[in-house]
Amino acid sequence: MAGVVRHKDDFGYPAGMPSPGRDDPALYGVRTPSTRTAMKLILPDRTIRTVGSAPAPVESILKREGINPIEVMVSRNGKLVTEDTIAGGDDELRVIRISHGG
Amino acid sequence: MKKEPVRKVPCCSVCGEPAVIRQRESGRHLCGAHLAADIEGRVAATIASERQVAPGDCIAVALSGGKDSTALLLLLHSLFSSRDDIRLVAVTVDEGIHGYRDETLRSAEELVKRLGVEHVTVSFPDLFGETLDTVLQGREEQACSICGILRKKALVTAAERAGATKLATGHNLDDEAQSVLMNLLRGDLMRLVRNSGADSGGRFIPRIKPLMYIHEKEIAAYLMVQGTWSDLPECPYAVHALRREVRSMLAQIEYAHPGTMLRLMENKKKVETAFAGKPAREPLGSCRQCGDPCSRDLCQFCQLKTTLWG
Repeated sequence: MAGVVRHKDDFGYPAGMPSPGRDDPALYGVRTPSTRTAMKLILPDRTIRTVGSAPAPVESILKREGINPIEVMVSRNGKLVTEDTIAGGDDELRVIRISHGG
Repeated sequence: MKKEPVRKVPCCSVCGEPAVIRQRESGRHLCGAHLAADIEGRVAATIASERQVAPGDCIAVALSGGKDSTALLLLLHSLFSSRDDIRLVAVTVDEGIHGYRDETLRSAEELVKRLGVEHVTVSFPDLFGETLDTVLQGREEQACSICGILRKKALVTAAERAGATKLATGHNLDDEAQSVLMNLLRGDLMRLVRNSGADSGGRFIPRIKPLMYIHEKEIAAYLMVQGTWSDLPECPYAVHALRREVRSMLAQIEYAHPGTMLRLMENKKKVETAFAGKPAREPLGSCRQCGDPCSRDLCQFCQLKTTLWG
């Protein structure tokens, strides 16, 4: 329908459309290999978030997660980077807390 | 073969190599090597302009094994290890904090061994008869105040045992700016203008803070590029501290207005200058119990000792 935005499910099919992943009981709820890429954000408490693949400055990605860029260091794919570095694709960003108190 | 997308990395403003840090006040990007050179130069400049070290000094470097004290010892070792007229001794306090201090103590021991620096360690049980964990049972809310007073006493004792003429601590720009703000919030003008680095006429070991103009983030990056960064645990008592709230608030302001921390320090200097020799400064007397220099009848340690142990 024109003008209606349909959200895609985990398998790339719009809501309301038949989806082999969503509609197949054997696959439903199970992560299947995807051809799409996504950035991996590893937080200081070691939790991992997926943050999409669109290129964005590290600073914006941190701010979206509620992290103040001056309180952390960030490595991209194992190398230390500045907060104005552009990350994207399947980059792995690790956020390192720098303040330990005490 | 998968083709890597080309995404530009900000480059060092000096040499063009990939940058590891952006200095927000100036907008300058620096690579690991130029960050190290920049920090070493600024620490040397602080030591010179504040007259923190003189020929013949024995500098006790307070080494907890955390990032700031590790960076401090590395930097002072780099600046002074070739000097015959300056001696460095690392001094460590083991407060007895279960699950926290053991790891940092190990890190401290490894560092002094690697650098070949003399090391003096004192512990709360040796000096005060019990660990900090025991002292704080039922007093967790006051953890940082109590620990601060006991740790200061322990550090001074260790520095005296080492024969030190200066006591260097790893307070960085963020710590110092937080302290200025905390003293303002508490309305504590005396503490704001107190200068523990001043020449004491031999009554106490002057404290020096060579990292006072280096951001915490720069210190972390410096250690990472040197390969000496350890992701150590946070002190379990830090959750009770006013400093934790001030740190977060100030970091937000610094992010929105780069240079705020430096301006707080500059203003502190102006206040210090304005009050130099004025009666707002408390006269230095002696503690009636232990004789240590203090501005009241009893020093903070003796007051606390009475509260804790009668």
